[in-house]
Amino acid sequence: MEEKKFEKLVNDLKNLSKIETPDNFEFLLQNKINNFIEKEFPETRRNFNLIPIFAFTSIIVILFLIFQPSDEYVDPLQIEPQMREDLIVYDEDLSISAFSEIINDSFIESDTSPQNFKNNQESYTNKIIETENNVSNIKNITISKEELNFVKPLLSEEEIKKVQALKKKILSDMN
Amino acid sequence: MIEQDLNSLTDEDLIIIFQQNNNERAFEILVKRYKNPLINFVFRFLGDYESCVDVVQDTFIKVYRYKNVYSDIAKFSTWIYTIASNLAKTEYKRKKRIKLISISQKSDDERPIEIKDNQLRPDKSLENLFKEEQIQQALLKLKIIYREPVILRDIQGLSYEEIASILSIEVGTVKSRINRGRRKLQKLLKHIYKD
Repeated sequence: MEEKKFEKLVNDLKNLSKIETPDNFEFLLQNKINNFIEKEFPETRRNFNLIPIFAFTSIIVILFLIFQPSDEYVDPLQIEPQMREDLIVYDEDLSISAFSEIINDSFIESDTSPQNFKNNQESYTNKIIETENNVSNIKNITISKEELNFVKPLLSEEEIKKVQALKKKILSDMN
Repeated sequence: MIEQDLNSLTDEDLIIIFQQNNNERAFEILVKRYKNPLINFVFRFLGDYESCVDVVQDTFIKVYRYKNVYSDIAKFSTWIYTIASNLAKTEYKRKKRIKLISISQKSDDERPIEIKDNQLRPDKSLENLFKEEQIQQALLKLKIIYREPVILRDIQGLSYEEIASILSIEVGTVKSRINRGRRKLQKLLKHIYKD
């Protein structure tokens, strides 16, 4: 009923001229889409473009820091070890006791008869003075860098002679 | 995919291919299929050819931009008409605001209808052209809530269900609005439809 009432109008509406898009519609649309893409993602694109540049620059800087050319090149194997003064301890009591032992030994070995006692006493007194001098000498000894890495016995000339004599004796006994 | 295969696909298949593979050719086919129906709809709604071209282009840009928003639960035609309808309404409101602040304002009756020369068909008589102009003027005088369903139904030939989805209203409301719209149109064009 209602449809019939508006039949003519509906018919005319259906037959209205069909409007069409302009010929360059697609071209304009493509331009608009390209503009939109450029506006929408410029940051992202720029960032993506910069990633390889950043990576390359970082690698160059790191390599430069690692293999930095230097005129003051020092071979680490040739560097002398630094002296660690905190580890050099001089034990005075131990040195004195060591020398007193030597003195005692010489007492045992020496002649103890009353005739020679006075002479011996003098010689012992001399020895004590000599020993004290030795001790004071030892106290004044400074340890050089070369000696840091080795256990080097501190012997007087007399002691060295004794050691050598002992060595000769041992060698002759062995032969 | 081969050109011929793409052309034989439905709108829904094409938009899914465009979503998944970013296949520009699928988008181009959709543009080809919908550019004229949309321009017809928007032109009848706005009555201004230049504005309607812009609105339709913006509609396709939105489709391009928000292609992933489309879900295959709805028809593609419904989705694209909804976008075009919203953009057309925005443009209509914008133009109305501009018209309000315009100093040299003509009345609606004085405003000529803008139909491009190349759109005129030689087989149409002057009488028909005059009638078309009258109908277009009458359509523009209708309130939006009546104008839109009448155009979608009687000019675009969409179903009541499709119109209901596009306008987000009940089918019953669509029918009653179309009925009232036609009645108002007929009243405005009483010199043409005398009986």
